[in-house]
Amino acid sequence: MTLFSVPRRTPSAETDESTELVRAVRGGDKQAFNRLVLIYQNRIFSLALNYVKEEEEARDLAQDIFVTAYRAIEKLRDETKFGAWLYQIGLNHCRNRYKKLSRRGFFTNKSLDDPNSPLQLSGGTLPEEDLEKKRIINQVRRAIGTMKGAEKEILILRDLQGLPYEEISEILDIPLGTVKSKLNRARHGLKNKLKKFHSELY
Amino acid sequence: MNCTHCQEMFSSHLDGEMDSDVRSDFKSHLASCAECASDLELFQTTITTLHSIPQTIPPADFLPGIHAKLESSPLNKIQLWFSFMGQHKFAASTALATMMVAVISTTVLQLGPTSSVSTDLTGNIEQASLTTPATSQTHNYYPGVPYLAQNKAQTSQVVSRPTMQFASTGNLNSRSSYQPNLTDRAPPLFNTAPKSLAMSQYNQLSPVLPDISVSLCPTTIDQQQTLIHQLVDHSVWLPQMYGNTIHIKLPASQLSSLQKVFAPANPQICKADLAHINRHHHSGRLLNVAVTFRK
Repeated sequence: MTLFSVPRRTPSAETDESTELVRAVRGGDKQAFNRLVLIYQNRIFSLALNYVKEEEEARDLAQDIFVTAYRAIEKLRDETKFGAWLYQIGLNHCRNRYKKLSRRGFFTNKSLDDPNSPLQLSGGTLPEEDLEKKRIINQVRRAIGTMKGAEKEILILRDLQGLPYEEISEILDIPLGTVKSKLNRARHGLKNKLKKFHSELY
Repeated sequence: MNCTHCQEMFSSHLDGEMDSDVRSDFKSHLASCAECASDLELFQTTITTLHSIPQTIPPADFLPGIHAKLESSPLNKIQLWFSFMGQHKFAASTALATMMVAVISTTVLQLGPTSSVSTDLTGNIEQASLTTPATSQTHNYYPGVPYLAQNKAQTSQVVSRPTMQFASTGNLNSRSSYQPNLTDRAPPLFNTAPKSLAMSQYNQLSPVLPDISVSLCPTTIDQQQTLIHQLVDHSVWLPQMYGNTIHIKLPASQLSSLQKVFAPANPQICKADLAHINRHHHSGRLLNVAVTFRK
């Protein structure tokens, strides 16, 4: 599975195309839906992966998100807000799936130290510097995994998904100021957890 | 500025959104407070690390998977497959999904934006065409599978349902190029003339004698479904079903991976068969493997 940073287009260009595509899907153009999926699939798949941590489950979850979106597309009131709306559907699905999997004990056996986990960046013989980076990333992921739902969510949306404040405000339906203060608290929370890990290790 | 206030500003500092009027206070506090300064450094490292985590892209069958989910019945098609289809033989799970809909005639399918879409029995959807960057040509998503209107269901109750025509945006749909090889077994699954889906003529066909028989005892329904999925979805293995046994053809070299797939379901393979496995391990010959699911 290739790992690389996907370049983002300017938000406004993307919104314009999404709006057009949503109108087309509502008009019966099924192919427009394909195009919408292609635009958003990386983000929704990443979102799912951040919640369920396993690629098979993440794929299934991400597909379900698009299926729900397709079936509910008539209910979207503002066609220009497809992205935020899709993320709302996504978050609902992710939260529910996470709860369900937690109850089944899905996460208890999954150690982020497991070399077969997809969250382990591809190893092989890496120079010291890269191995160190890898170790740090795994540590950070483990710390995120121990955070509470709401805090974890805002971190995922901002620092892992890279969404702008305005969009997060729309998705979570909270004022902009609240987004910023919650995010600050969540980031501090993560930093403190890592401080604790460090002090436990050394 | 005190430490608490300073720490509340960390995020806006990192995101470059700090108001200029507080910036000088912020910087002077950091200059004089070692704790906040080191805290800020850890804060920045943590968040920068988060930003550097690369994005994983979804697998190639992601989009076709969505289509499959949209087109399948809300009822669990695998469980129904076992209880309803009995002795019938299948060449591909896509054909299965289409047949299931006709047989389970009381199923109400959710179709999505049908309010603004007009349909007719043959399933052609009136399209408001819009020029999109991709080609505007739609093609048959399941080539070779006739529209439901051409087949009469066993119970003479016909579900008229518009077929979703999704254009493929590339070679992502592995299923559409799957052509089952039935020449050495039976007449084609679908003829051009409308016929009953009972397909009783296929009940009489006996399966090819397998080289290897595997008996599986899955511990949960989930496991059973996953295993069935893996066998049926594998277009290269040409799965055929007789009762609760699935016959597949695969090269001997893939046997060990098959055994790994079966491992959690307590597979029973008789000793003679195992010897057979070892003998043919290195040859390129296709083996007939019969996989039976027991309760």
